[in-house]
Amino acid sequence: MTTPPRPDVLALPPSTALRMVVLSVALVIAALFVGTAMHNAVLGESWQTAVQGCLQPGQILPDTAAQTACQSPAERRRAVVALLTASGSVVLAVVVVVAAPVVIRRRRRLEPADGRFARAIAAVAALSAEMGVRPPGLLVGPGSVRSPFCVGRPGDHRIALPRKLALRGNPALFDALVGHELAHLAHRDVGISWLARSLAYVLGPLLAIPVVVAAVGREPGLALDIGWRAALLLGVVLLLVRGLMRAREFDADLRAARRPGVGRVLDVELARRPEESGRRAAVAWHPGPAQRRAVLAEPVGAATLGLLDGLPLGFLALFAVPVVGNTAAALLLGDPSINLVALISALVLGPLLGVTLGIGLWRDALAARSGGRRAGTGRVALGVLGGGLVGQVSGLALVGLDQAASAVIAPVALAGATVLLGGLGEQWVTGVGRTRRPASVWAPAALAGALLVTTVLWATGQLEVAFSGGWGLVAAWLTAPGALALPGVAALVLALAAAWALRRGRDGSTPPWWGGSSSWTALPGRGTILVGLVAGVAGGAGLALHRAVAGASETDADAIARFDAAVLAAAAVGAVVVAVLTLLRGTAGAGAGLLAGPVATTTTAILFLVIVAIVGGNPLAFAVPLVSGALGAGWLLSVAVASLGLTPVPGLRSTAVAALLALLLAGGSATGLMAARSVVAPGLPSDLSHDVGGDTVTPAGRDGSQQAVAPTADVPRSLYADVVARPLLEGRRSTAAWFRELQTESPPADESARRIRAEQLPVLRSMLEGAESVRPSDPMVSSVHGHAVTGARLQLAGFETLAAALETQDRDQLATADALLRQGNAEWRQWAAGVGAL
Amino acid sequence: MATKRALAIDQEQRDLAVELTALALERAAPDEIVVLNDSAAEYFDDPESALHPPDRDEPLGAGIDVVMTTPYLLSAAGVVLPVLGAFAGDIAKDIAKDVVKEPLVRRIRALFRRGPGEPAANVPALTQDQALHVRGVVLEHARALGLPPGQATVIADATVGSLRVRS
Repeated sequence: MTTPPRPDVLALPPSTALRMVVLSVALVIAALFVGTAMHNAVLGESWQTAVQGCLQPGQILPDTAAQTACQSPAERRRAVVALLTASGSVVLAVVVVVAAPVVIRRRRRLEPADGRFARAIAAVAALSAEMGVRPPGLLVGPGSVRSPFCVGRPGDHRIALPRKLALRGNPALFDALVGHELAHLAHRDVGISWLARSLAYVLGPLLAIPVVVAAVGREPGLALDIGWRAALLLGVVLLLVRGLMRAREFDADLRAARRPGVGRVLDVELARRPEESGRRAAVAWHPGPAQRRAVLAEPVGAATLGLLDGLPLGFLALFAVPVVGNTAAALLLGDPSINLVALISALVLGPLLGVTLGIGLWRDALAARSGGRRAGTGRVALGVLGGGLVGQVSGLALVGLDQAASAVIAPVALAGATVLLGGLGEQWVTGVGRTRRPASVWAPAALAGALLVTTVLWATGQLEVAFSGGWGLVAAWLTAPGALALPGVAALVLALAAAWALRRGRDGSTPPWWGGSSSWTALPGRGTILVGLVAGVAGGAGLALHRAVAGASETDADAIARFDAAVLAAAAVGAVVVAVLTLLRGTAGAGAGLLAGPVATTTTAILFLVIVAIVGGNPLAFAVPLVSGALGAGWLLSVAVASLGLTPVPGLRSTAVAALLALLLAGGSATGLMAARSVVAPGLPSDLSHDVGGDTVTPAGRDGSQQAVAPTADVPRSLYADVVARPLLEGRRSTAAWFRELQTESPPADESARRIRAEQLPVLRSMLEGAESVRPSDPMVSSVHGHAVTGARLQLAGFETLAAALETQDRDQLATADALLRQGNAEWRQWAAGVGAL
Repeated sequence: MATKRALAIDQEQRDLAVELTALALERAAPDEIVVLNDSAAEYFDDPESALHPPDRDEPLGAGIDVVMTTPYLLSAAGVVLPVLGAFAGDIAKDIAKDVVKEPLVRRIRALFRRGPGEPAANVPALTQDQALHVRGVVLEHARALGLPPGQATVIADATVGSLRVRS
């Protein structure tokens, strides 16, 4: 009987590499935090004076440009200080990496190996060639050096050997320990490890400086505020360092053990070492001998992730977003691209953390499958949730927001994203048995992770702001066409990935490049599409039932609310499916939900369109905004409900049970949401709508009021473009295009007047009503929005005058109308420019 | 003058200890002979740190220690030499008057076993009981140093094995 080959967990990017990425991010974020804190401690007062000077009550500067011009020097200085400190920290870190080898060689009295160690030199060269590593120089230490280690600058690494080992009296031990060190060189983890080792020395003083400065400046409150955040950040960084140091030992052991016999030697030597316990074991840089022996015996242990792996990731992600965002916003103040700050933060952090999380989770999933154990997705997600909550509270993300609600949005969403990502991995690895390269796992894991985390970081930032404006604003954002383009794309891409993972023909075997024995346990994800379709049909049936009972809408406001409710209902149906699959089948079920959810959402949305067509309407006019909006919103809701994957699950596999539950919940939620549309989708009344056979529906209508929010809503600056400006702009374009068309046709004057009154004036009234319903408290937004209100009033007055002029053939009135329309156009142009500068 | 003499005596004792250690290394760890001078210099420079290096959790080390035997043999030699000095006096009385006149260092050195086989009848050698006593002294010392029993035995056997013992 032949023993199956051991799983080669190093075939995928090792833990060491992934943790190095996270640690690098942590260093930069910590440095940016220090920079901002330093600025606040030293220059905070002058910054406050400068900014407040630009925002004196009752003395708002004449326009946005003046406002930003006034504030930007102070803001830029803040950003520059933060960036300079960050650069200084990175330079300091590089200095540590470069200087550490010199200091170590001197302090440890390491000398180049001479002729007495010729056998060792030759053996290192041979082992290097065997492991595909450039032969390193050999240093020999005095008797006090008892353990070999790597030292040197990047590109010029040496192995320092204890004298006893360098004498090569025990060739087997020599090969095992030198092989271990060469593995570190192969993993390129030496430089970053020295940096990690020294990071506390770099970050500690840096983090202490702003605290001391604030304390000396007699600002104990500020010193305390910076101090506890800094201490927390340092603690997380040390947790990351410890994780890296331990992971690199497992990885190095496993690479060294690829050589026959080395694993046995390492096992024997480790068995001789005493096991640390208590505090010493908790803070030790190395994993305990028992842990290392366990990984050598069962390599998949090196790929296992847990709560402590998720914790720093969650913390870093949510601590970092506002740090990066604030710096970017300060730099971009006055530039039109400042609207993209949320996206910039997400794009800076999402890919780095997402790639790390994705590869780590999928590697864990493959290890779990080949080891016949449950994947650690839930544990990691729990860590992400805990770390995220701490990061959210200790970071600056909640400044100015309704903290209680906002504090949980991002952590829950990030935990949900972790569940979805890990769940997708659990599905994916059941179909890679015939792949030839590890890239078939790590490449999609990296892409999925980057897309998921980036999207979630962006969306949660938007959602937190929207929540501070109440549910009306949230509903408006969720149903705004185009606002959820990124989540929509994410939903589609991840649904395709899930479809590939769940394809027919997968056999659950482990791929040849991974090795190990294949696990033939049941494949997860059976009946996924069926559950999605059943829920989607139930959702559609629920909407049809409501239409049959409630009849056609009688007012435009109700028609608009019905459209919004349909978007939310289709979205909710998708989320219900994800919730059901997650609760019944755990994290793997959540992964399958990435396909089942969009299937359900799309099915419900299509059925709603069919209903509209059946009752005589034109569904094509709003098919795209309905389906795309529902997909994006549904995906976001699914991310939130996927956090249910943290709860213990019964492990029910029955498709019938899942389908039945999904059917009941989807049908019920679709009907309920439509029935409660005045609460869940509080829109503004509109006089214009497309007549769709008794149902008046206004999807992205000409009036722009479809997305408008509840009367007298306060819209935050970051959401103004999506929730208010975009619909108004659509209305503006639409009315302008309509008028150009009328001018081209040149119908008789009375016909023109009739059409203006029948088709154009209702739209303009609706736009004005929508614009007037928004009362931003932000002075800059208010200043910009004032142009929209004035423009809408002038346009309405202009077209009313024009219609009257055409009816009476009054040339003076015609001139008045022309002047009003020109003034209105000018106001709209100012508004558009102001929106760009917000 | 007194200091010079003390240093000279000290140097003679060190030379004896190194000599005995070299013989013991042939049995316990022959690979270490080539670096004996370096190891001995480090040991005499700071015996405490050579025997008890700080228990570091080396962050970048392999986590597996590889320890030299030489410092422990040198330390063992340090406790054995006075014992041998006492034995050497007794042995010399039994052999010849001329030998008694020899310096103690030479008499101790004469007890070192420099080749295989049984010592000749007129050559100084330890009795079995004396050898057992020396072994016991070294074992106790090694244990006091904190060495595990296996390694302590190796040190004791190698040390006694480097001395002439009459059967």
